[in-house]
Amino acid sequence: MDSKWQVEIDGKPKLWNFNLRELWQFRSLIWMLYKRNYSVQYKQTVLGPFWMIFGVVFNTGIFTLVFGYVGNMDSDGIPYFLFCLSGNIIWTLFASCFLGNTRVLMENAYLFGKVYFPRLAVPVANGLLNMMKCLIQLVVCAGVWAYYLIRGDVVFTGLPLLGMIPLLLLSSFMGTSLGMIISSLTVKYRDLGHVAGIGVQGLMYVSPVLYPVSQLSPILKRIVYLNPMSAFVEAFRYCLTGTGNIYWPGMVYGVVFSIVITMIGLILFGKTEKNFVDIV
Amino acid sequence: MDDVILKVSNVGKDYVLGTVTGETLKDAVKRQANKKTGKLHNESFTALNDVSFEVKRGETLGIIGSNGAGKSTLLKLISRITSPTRGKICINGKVASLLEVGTGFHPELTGRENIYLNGSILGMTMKEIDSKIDSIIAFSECGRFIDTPVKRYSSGMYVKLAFSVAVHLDADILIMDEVLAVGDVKFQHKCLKKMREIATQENKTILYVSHNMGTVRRLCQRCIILDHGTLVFNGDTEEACDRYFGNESVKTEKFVDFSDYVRPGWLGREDVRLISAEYENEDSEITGTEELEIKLKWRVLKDVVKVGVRVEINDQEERAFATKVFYNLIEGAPGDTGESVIKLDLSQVKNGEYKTFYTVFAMEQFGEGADLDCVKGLDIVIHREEHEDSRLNWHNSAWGNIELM
Repeated sequence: MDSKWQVEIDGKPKLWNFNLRELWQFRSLIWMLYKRNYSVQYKQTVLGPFWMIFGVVFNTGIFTLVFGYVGNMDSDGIPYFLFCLSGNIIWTLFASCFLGNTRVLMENAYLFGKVYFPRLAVPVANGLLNMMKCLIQLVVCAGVWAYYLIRGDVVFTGLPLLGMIPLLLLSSFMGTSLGMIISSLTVKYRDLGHVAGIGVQGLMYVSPVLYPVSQLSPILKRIVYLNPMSAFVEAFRYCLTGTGNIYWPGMVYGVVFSIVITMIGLILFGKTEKNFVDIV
Repeated sequence: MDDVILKVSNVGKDYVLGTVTGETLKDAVKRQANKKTGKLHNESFTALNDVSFEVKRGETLGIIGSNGAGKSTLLKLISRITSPTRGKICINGKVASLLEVGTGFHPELTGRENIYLNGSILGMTMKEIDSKIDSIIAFSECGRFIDTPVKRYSSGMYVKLAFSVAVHLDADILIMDEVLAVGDVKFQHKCLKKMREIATQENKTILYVSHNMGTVRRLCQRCIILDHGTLVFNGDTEEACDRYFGNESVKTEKFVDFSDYVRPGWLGREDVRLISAEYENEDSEITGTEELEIKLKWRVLKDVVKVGVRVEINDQEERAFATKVFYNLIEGAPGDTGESVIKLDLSQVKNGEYKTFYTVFAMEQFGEGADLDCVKGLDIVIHREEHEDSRLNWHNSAWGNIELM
């Protein structure tokens, strides 16, 4: 007789609180949240979405100047600007998915305290927006890539280009899930919010965004590959430009890490969302 | 049986008092340390306790109770914002909760964009909103401003727009918390009409929380009353309203029992409780110059000294026009009961029927009193034979109820 109820609410803690079908029912909401995030960011700006690419291009320019020209950093035989840009794009996707979600519960506590919808909709919408930004950055990257291709500085890799898609998806999943974990914990321990910002910045230097792994000593190499993003960054660059290599143990590590982190993220988020309104 | 759409069974909710909120790692470590020494950092507070009721499809249920009675907590549980500590809630259908109008409105977005955003937050799909958008805009009376960012709206327009989205929701259960307390009278009336329409024609269920008994009476068929987290009444709206206003006490002309009396919500303390009041006079009417003797029975719940009682005499419109204060009537330790007989000289009060309130108060500094209990007392009926030709016939409505001596 109990089974006739569509929704049952009780206080029993459930480990797996993730309901994909419910999330799908709220797909309109995800789309609206995505649109809100997008349009709110560029309301009353003249250049609008241009600002999405400006940050990455400017950053890459600075890095190229500092490391490429002044520091004379090795770049596996391709122009340093393209080398750095490709690393930067996948790293920025990861970092923005992560940082965009570290405060997702706290920032939306007001909304969550007033109305019910699957809380997961918000991080998913955040992730979507960051993927969109990444797509636009890729267009710029494609332009730069084409320029060097015509000049003959890089080779056309062909099929591996498609490998960029799963790499980007994995990175955004990893970033979003890590962000969700941090956001679940910051509900109670706000210290973590501060740690996250600094941590992700530091982590970038422990990944081959700015330098090729081939230049490192074996010990340093091992340390760099501890960062689950390292293999992804390298593989991404390989798919685009054909330089560097795909480090398979690192890839397996990255993929397993992504899956585990996504599971933990969903469990923790599902546990926290149930009652966090009371403690936030 | 099959049309029960919402079933709440034995639901309870505890909150932790103190600052578990915004805790830093240092606090957590400290708390762990305290746990070992057996010292508890926080105590819990029961906001809801063992509440059970059922709602059928198409019913409008009013939820009333004073502030802090647990109404909002109950709505939060039903709308799945937070989960119950005990018990279970079963729902058959889609729930839309309007604990506040305009949830998720973003000031930078235009009215139209906000309709889509707010609608989807409340659980509408894109298609539904597309088909209803014209009717929403028309209802909101904001047609001209619909493509302007809502940050430039007046607060009235904002609220109207938000409510328009809400009434167009296609949910089986609508939960409303005081949302009608917005907008001008005309718009409120329109909303109420629309809500009644929703309930009767579209066979939807509405849970409505308000302190405005007028709207509760007009909208709800049935009411539940919450008091300090427990359900004290479940039944007919008229009866519920009477109870809420405190008219329900067992009452004859000469005796009143306060043990089941629902105390008014503003009362913050419960140090002393009146049990009953009784007229000692032979007759319940005052016909001559005799004093009115009232025997009050009371029980002390906390240590008190210097506690007195005020007898406030009100006219039929419940306006107080005279008060007699009795000082130092009650004293004692928790559990003590006692009775006091107080005497009222009503010789200056003219003929009429009057209502009374008995208020127990404690003396505090600077002559201020803190009210400990307040109940509606026995009616006073004064009916003196006064037909001396040399004296005026008294007109209470024009001259008041008291003739000065």
